[in-house]
Amino acid sequence: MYRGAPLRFAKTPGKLIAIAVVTGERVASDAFRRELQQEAQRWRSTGLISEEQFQQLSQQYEFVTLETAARDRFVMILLGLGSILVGIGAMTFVAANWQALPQTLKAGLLFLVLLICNGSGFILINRIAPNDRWRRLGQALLLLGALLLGANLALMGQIVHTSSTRYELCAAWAIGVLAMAYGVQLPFLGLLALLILGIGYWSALWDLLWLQSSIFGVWTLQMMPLLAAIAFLPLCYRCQSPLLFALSAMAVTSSLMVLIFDVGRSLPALFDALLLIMPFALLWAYDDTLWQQLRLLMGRRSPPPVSRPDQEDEAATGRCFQPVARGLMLFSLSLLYWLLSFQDVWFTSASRSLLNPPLVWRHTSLVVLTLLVFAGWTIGAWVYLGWRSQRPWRLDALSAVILGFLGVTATLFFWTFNAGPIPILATTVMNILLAVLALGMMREGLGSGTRSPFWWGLVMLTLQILSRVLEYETGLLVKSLVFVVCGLGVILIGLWFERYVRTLRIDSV
Amino acid sequence: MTSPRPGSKWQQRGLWAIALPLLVQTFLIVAVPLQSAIATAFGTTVILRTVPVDPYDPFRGYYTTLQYDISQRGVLSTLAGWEEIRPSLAPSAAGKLLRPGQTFFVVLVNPDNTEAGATELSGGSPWQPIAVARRRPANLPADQIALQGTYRRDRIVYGLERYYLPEAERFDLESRIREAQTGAEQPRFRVEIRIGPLGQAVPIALWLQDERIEF
Repeated sequence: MYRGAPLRFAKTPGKLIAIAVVTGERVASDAFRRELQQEAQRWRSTGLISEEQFQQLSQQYEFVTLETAARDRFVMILLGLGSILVGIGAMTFVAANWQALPQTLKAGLLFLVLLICNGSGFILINRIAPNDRWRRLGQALLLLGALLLGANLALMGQIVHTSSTRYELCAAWAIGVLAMAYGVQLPFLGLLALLILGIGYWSALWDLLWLQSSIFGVWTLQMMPLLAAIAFLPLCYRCQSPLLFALSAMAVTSSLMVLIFDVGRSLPALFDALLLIMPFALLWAYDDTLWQQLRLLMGRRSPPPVSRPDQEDEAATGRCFQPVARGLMLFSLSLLYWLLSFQDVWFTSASRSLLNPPLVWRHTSLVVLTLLVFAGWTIGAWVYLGWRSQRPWRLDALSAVILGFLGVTATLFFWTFNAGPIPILATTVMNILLAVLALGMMREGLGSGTRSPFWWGLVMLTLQILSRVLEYETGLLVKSLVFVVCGLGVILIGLWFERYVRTLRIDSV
Repeated sequence: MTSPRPGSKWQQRGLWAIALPLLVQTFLIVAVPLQSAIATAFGTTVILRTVPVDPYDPFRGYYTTLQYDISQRGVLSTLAGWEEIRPSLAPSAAGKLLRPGQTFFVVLVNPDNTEAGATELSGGSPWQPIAVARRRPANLPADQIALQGTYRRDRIVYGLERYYLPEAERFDLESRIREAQTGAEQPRFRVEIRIGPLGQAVPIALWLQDERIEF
């Protein structure tokens, strides 16, 4: 990978600095820096780069901190673990409902500890010099403070013998932690808030019967995808955290799916079919630059002076979360296809006519509103995806293929909802789509040098073959024939691909 | 937790960055007991008959789930005003998962006809439901009060369904309840509640036979 690079670096020292500065802004991973350090030392010893250039590299990539990075991380894990244990201890103390201390004294003490933890944590990360051990302790204290908020809320509920559900407790807790995450801009607090909200949300679907307040309980449940998107997406951008974005996107799409399953069957079959693929379509078309464009449009009424940034300069335009969203989409779509490649799924999904009570507007207006907002967002995102300045609307090849996949899936749903189960056709199509998707991911993974798509594609393909072997009880002779035919087909595809590899150009995004 | 990024820009945040979140958190903490505090301060004490069972909540500890006479559809259907609220309380066939509840009010009457709020040594007799209504009835006599309930997916809840117990006294209480149930005397397990100005109620204490238990 680096074999060709040092020669160029050696010839043009000026360019080396330019490259390094650009990469340095996007913080390089520890693994890359470690590898680079070893390589640079080798280049220096073989005379490929001068001592001065090595020093420049060393400064730019902060080789000095590499040794301490592992130790620091371990310290941080210990501090974080300690905070979590203390927090759980506080919660268990509340749950024990110990009567030796009066309840009001307990509440006062816990609240005081909460204030002290958060206050001192904030001072440590913000007021005392940054980037040293106090900062880490401050983060641990803020984590503890976030857990203590839960203990405080639980204690208050216990004192007044509230009948409210775990969802109501967790939602209030998540709001508090989220406020803190916005205040101090720490992504791990956002992750914690999301985790707490997730625990509450999924437990709410079980003990929905006991929800006490319709405003805080039911209405927020009905609008959860929208609320989660509004609450967490800005935080993802503030903290620039792909992990937080991935989890937020999962939260939004999974709660969206809950709504779609809930009301989908009461809608006309066409809408139901389209809604079922909507979360996937939205994830694929998600574009970070859409927000900037919208802000420009909102801010000044005149059209933005700069034309739409080109697809190439991703780093410059800050399209930071689009690859995460797309990866998530491919991952979930392949799982969906795998589930739908079983024959039984198509038989059970045909029971649509049995279960469709008409929609009562009074009960589901918020759900419908939420779905409409997301439908608008999805359509807008796809329109934006194909929009080119001063050129006709056109999708790139990969997005067009994905749109085709989604279209075929929706068509199959629509057909099934209208005409009853079509197991043979549907499972055949699903198996083909799954295989193509898995092979495509393997191809992309190999092409871009990233491992995860390749391995995920391989896993899905293997899973598909195993599932088909175990699902159908056909004779061994037939199975053998199928395997041989499949194997020959794959070999032929490989040979064809080999031949056309130079002409085939996937419009990578 | 994130590592402090080498070379990342460090900017000092103002005091609002901690003050606002703490304000939000304080508000959330205070909001939990608010309704209960209002009911305790301005409410009326009412005794209801109940049946206990105990589960556990990982955050708030052990509690006893309380089931009331007026939690049963059958009991409510014998009361005056049932025909008025029945359409909104229709059992949902294939209920929507996220269906919101319907609120209604139960009018309770004090059988002892004593001054409202005064609990005698025995805890007083349980109040009896006499009517149900869609809206909160105005101008009730002094010995009557309206309690707000919610009907959701064939279940009636009043916000009085849980009473949290200390871990240490939970077994003791359980055995006393069992004793009361097997004893010669009719088991009398009741809950003392307070009903706030708007009809929302909070549980205050349990009454087992003639003994008041409050945590």
